[in-house]
Amino acid sequence: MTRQREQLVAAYMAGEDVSEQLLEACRECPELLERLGDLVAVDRLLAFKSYDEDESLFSAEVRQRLEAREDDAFVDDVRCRLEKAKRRKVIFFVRLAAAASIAIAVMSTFIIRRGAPGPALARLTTATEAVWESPAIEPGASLKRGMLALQEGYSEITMNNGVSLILEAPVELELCSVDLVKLNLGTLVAKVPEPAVGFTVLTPNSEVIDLGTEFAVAVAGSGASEVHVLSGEVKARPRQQMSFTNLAKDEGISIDAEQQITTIKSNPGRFLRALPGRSAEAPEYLHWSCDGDGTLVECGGTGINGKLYPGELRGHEGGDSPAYANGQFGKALYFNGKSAYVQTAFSGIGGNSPRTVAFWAKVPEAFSALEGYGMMGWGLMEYASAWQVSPNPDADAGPLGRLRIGTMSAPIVGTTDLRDNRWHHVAVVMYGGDEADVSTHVLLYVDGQLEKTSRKSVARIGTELEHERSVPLMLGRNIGFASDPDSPNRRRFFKGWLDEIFIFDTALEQEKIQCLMESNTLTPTPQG
Amino acid sequence: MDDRELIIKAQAGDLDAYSELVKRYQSNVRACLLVRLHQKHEAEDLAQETFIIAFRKLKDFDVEQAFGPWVRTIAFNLLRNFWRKHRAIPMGGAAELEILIDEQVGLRYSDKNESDTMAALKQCIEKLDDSMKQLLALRYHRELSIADLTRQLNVRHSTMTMRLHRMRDQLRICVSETVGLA
Repeated sequence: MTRQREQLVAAYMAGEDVSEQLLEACRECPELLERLGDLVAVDRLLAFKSYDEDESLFSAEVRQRLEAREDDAFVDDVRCRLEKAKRRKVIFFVRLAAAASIAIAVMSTFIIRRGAPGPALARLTTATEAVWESPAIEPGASLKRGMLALQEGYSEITMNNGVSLILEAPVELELCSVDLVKLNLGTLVAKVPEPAVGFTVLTPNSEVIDLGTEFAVAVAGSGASEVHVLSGEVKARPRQQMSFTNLAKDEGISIDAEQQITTIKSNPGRFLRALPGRSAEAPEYLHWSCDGDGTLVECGGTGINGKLYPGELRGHEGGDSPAYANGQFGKALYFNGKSAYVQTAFSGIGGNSPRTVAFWAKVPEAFSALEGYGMMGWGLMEYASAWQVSPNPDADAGPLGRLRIGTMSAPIVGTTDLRDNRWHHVAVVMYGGDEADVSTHVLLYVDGQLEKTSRKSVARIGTELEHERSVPLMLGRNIGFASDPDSPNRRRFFKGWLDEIFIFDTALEQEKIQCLMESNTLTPTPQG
Repeated sequence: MDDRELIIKAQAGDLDAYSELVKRYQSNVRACLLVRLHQKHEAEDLAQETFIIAFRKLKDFDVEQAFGPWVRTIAFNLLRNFWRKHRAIPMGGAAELEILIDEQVGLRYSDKNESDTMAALKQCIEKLDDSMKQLLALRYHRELSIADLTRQLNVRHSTMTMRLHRMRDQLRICVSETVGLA
């Protein structure tokens, strides 16, 4: 091969724009194409070899995707069953009303919904976006023996013996006594303090008795039940069998409608194990309002660790930088999906520290998966080390265009389609804390409302800020796209509009997020 | 536990057993896709999809057959579908060259020999001199850009691209001689 052709191949392999010349040379000399093919194959295999060292990571990702699909099917199944039950109930009451007086029907409703007369067994402690089948139940309300049906959101019930039950809608639960509940449909997580050991959850086909622990029970529309032990130990059995199976942390069983038992691995990521508490009164935060007109995006707020971090408008490889446009509060920034991004020096919030990111986003109807990644992000592109918010561009991770938080572990994807060319307020909240399992819980909000997600937490979040390849906060650019021109990553930039970007060093509660959405501050604007 | 036992457990829905199968066969499936596809991330997505489809179809799989070739066939079907959907019409320039290269790689690699090539590549890397080994580690393990490499090793851009080219070419020749691709 001539020296000139060697140089041409070397330049192509280094990512330089010499395709036309090389294509011409390959047409003239077919052997050159053969050699080029072999060189590219070596290059790809070298790259593969370098990241193939942890085989368990790939298999863990496949497993998480298989489990996520099972979870989605489960939720759909329960919803479908509840809808059917609701329709049956309506028909029942219509017939009852026809046969007797309306007054009797109303009284029957009261007895079925709110329980028989008797002492209070529990209290509704917390509710997040909760919608109950009428009548509504407010936090603080005492609960007596009887049936509860949660249609939307999450709630925490504290039994009088200290047992905490976290319910995830849709769910149907019957309170029988302080020591016994019956889960007819849906999912609950029970946290049992030592004095309440022996607390029992019945399902249509199983009995689960606590031995000092935290465990989750899920009942599908078919009546099949699953038990997942999150910590400690439980014993469980099919209702028609005498002997119990003891289950320890990370173990689980599935009991099908025919009472057959299958051993499964506990899946903590599927369950919400804590509801958000009250957020800090005066959190530290950064705010980019995007209201300027220069190449610097001003940064306001209290500052984090005493510093503010203005952003710089940039255009990759001489391309266009973000442009100012009309926003929700004053101006916004338009990102072209090809070259425009904002670079800041803010390294981000690291480890598993609590955080909230909130902003307005407008995503075009003609959304391309190649222009999805990176509304905002920071961290390192390694397992569990990144923190990147996007409209989901990966059909395998969930429906396209839904709010997604990616960590380079299993992403969490919401349900509201953002691809409508309208402004939406989005927020991603991570609780943070010392206990790894609970701290990694993530809630997504769109337009102030909690999003339904099939995954509530990921195994680990450790956003890495210190590594030499860690990336500080960028807006509009996929943090997985390095500056390397020969990077094979084609999903490089976000196309759409962003406005009023806030980052807090705390997990904000829903009320604060709604306040941000309505008034662009954490303090409600006085009416009048 | 052998493959047959794992497959029987996985057919009953045991995800632990299936994960073990994925660990055993992932390298082969990923290498086969990555070497044939320009877009690394698409290849990784297809590799994951391969194992998800395989899990769904596992109930129909005959446990007396070998799992490796079966899962590989699924990967090839996905790859063909991908090419059908995503291939640009050749209009010259980068897109056309990429297609020609992918076709060339497809021709050169039969559907069995990436594993042999990977094994040969490992042997050939050992034969590189220390400076080339260092360059390989910086480029492929630490993923330094050409600009970072020129700064770190204090050489000109064109010198660096030629050094990388020579390293890859040396490996290409060595691999070809080892597995008889030439």
